[in-house]
Amino acid sequence: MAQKAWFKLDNAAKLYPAISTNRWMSTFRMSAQLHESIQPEVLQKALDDTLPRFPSLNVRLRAGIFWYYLEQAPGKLQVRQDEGHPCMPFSKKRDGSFLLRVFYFRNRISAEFFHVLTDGTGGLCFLKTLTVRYLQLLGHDVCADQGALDVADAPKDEETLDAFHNIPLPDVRLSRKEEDAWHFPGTKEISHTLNVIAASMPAAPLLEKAHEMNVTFTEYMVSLMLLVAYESQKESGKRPRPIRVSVPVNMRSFYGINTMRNFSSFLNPGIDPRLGEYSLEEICHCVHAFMAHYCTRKHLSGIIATNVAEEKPLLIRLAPLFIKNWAIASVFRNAGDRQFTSTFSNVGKTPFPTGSEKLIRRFEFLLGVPYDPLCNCACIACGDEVRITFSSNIRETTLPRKLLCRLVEMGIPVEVESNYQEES
Amino acid sequence: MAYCVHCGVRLGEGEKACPLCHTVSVDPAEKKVPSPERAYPTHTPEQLLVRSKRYFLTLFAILLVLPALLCIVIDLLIGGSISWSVYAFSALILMYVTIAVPIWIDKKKPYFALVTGYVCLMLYLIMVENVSQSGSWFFPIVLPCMTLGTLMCLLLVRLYRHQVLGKFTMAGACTGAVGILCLLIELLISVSFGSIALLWSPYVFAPCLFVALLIFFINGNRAIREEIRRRVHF
Repeated sequence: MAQKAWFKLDNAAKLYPAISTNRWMSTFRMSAQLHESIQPEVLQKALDDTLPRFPSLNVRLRAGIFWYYLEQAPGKLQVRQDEGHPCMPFSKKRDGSFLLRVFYFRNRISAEFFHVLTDGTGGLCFLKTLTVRYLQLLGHDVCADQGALDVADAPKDEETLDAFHNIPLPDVRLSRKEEDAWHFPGTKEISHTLNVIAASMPAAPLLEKAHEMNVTFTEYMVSLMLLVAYESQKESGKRPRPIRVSVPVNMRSFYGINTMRNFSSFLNPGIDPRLGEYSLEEICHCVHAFMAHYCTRKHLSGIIATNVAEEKPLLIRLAPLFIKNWAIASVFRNAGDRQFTSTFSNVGKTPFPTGSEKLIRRFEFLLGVPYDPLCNCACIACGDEVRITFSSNIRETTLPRKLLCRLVEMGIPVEVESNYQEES
Repeated sequence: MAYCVHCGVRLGEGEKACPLCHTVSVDPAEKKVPSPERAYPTHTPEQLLVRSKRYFLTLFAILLVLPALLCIVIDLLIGGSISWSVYAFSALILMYVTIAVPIWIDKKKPYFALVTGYVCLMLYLIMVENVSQSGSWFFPIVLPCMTLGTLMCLLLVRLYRHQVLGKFTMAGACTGAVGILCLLIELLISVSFGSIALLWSPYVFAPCLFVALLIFFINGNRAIREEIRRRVHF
């Protein structure tokens, strides 16, 4: 397999460099919490072995005349001790030219990615491979399976494929117009701040609750978030506005393409409180019906076709990069995250690689700083535990507090951790 | 193992307060042992990246050299001697010093920056008076007015830094200070001309006073104050 020296940005990635600043970047973090403390030297060796297996991650961002592109990064990525807040913007001074970072903190290995490289599924695959390699170097008999790749194998063409341009797309342009959604009121934190609240709970009672409502786990959690937002909106006494939760959808399962680059789309299920009162049952029904209608290969391919079609006209392709950047940034500044109230990103049930069940405690998924003042939510399930992580750039904890209190009221035991500074 | 009495959630290792409602968890029977480490690092977030001051100031100097040289060359070519270009040249130096000094020292030393700016401006104006030979106006008018303005700025900076006033009342104080400054400047000018008459300054002073009083009045109403703060914060 011929290793590519450089990559064009995929369709989803084209947005991120244009809107990034030294104050804000779209990033996310994947972590693996082990039972033993991390040995940095071994982790460094594991990273050195793992990174060449992921040619699409071992890259730096370069500006061409018309588009950005990714090319193999020079130098060696160093593991670092985790400090400060997670998911901060990448800087050349601290991170070199790499667009991912690997941290260790106590018994946790974390990998942070600039979204231009990959999405949650690709990030989790990298983290699993790194963790398996780390455990192998420590002498444990762990298999590179269940989503982890074998570092001894050569990278496959499929893994570096720009899937957006390699799938059959309908000749259609769907409207993306949606009213601005309601946002939780809150005091915006200063830049370079990300408040994290991580909650762990058993998966079985949550699934049971979801099944009682005849919805999936994701639909149930989205419904709960909508309900919490709906109640908060009522309490605020402000004019009601639509409430939507953005749900990233992994497109790999629809097309059977196992790329390590971005291949996700988004759906925004929601409710409109201007139409009347809502109960949890009703919201579950709305979300389930929405997802059944829109979370299909046909509709999602329509969304992708719309996005891809926008970069096709000759005039756009020939526009210099700085003009494209200006245009994209202007559109994003005006739209931003306004179309949804929050995000719920669920990478689903993640099996432990064979032999690592007693070595890895859990995996964790964390979304980066939102563009607008928001509170986002990421979720991952490992073994019989669900780990939900709230990340926000507002001081108030309305969404996690109300959501987790509701789960406690349902009889689900919840354990919380945070990075909030203790009042002295 | 601790639970939040309000939320009912179990607090993770090392959490001394509930992350959701910030209620402190206290166990009276707890033995005094070092608290376990938290799950996440909680360092103060990193502030904006510090850019190279030297690089910026050098670039700024280079950008100012071009118009300065251009002025001198044009002056020499047209008039045959250096006349008006000395004003432009000195003004550019004044601009550089006024902008560069606060950047070079530290943002947290506003007194030094203010005094430096004041001294540079005075020197520039003395030079203008001497070169232009337009009569004696610096010492009787400009010096007292500028000194008064600078003293007022220093006073406002002191009030702000020592948090004597809140941000909202500070805005009222600044508005009031502008009105008072206008009154005093006109008073000084008229005295230097041998009369005491206030012609234009009351028209500035009255609206400033009105706005300042309005701000102080609104400051008493927390709801309105918060609403304004939310809409105009930057």
